[in-house]
Amino acid sequence: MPAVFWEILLELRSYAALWAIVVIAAMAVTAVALYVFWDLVGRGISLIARVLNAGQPRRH
Amino acid sequence: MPVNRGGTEVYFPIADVTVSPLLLALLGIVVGTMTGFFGVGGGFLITGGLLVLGVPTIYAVGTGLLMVMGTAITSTLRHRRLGNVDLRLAVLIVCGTIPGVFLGERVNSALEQAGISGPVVGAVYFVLLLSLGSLMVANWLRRLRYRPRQALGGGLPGWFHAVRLGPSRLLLPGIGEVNLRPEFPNAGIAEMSALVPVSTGLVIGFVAALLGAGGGFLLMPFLVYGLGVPPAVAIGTDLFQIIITGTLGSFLYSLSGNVDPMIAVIMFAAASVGTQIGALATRFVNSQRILGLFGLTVLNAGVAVGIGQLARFIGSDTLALVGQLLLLGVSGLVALTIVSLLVIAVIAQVRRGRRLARLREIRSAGRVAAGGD
Repeated sequence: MPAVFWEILLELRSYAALWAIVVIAAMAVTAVALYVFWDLVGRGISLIARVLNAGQPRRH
Repeated sequence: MPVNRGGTEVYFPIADVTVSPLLLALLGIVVGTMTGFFGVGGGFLITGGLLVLGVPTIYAVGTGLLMVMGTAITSTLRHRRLGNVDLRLAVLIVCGTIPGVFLGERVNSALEQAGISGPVVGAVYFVLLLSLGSLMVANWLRRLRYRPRQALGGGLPGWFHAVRLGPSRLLLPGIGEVNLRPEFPNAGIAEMSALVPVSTGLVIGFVAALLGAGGGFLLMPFLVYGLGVPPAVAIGTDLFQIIITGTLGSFLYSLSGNVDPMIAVIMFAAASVGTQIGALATRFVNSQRILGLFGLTVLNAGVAVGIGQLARFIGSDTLALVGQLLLLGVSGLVALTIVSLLVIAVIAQVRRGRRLARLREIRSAGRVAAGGD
């Protein structure tokens, strides 16, 4: 991580309320982003599986 | 400023601690696998693990809560379609959780100012994890030996459902009569005093904010063993409560500057990989069958925290390393068991599929031959 990044974080930390909001928002955004990422990975795998099974006869 | 102290260790200036990001990621993956599989936040492991890794107590608690919040959001998003939440029960629990979290954070800050936060949190953790772990393992072993048909927790749910706290009905001007002994349909409870979930929430919120956990490791067993809620509904209701505890707790700890978001993000990103593995495993392996493994993990976390506290007290690096290895080792083994069971189940399913396909081919070949005759 670049030193300037840590400097910004440490500076931001002195503004208690702003820091708390930024921390919560950052974690919430990370959580949603990771959920979307893994959802897309899952959909991608399903799509590949469907494409690979396209030529096969259907099970009854 | 951040300094790479050689090898794999990195200095985190906010928490003022030098930790290996690889160990943080490893802890994250283990916690994620357990979260995805057992449906609890894993806060007891995160904070316990951070304590063992040498992160100062107040930062371990605050950072643990932040990570629990993230994990709960992702899990709830994934479980949103399942409908495994008893909203009435969850809202009543949250009513008690909110004041409990405020109280817990205040007490922890006061303990920190008095310079005894570390030993007190460590001791509470040690006692809670040890007793809860023993209870879960004992219950699991008893069920394995006798295979009883009775509900989980024996007669406890009946007692909690029947307990009378205050009046059954309350007349509010302008609103009318309010039933204080409502039904909880999703949880399968015909009637219970509303004060039971409210007081449960108060205790859970207090302990969660004091220890830096979402409270899932306490609430989930209480809902299942204490109130007789079906495990699937207990997980959903528990997750709803964890979002509130996690967000409120991490906000309060962030206000005091006692949260390291970088440590949380590293662990959370790693945990998301584990969560996918754990969640996938639930499709193939029945988590109820190995609930004892979860109890064993809780028990082991208690022992590891105890060893870690003792190591700090006597200043022994070797003992601290033993605690670290024990926590990560046993939790890692449980996570590895889950992965192995998943792999075995997937292989068995693939083989079954191939056998069925071969059988179908033989049958169709037989039909063609019969038609030819």
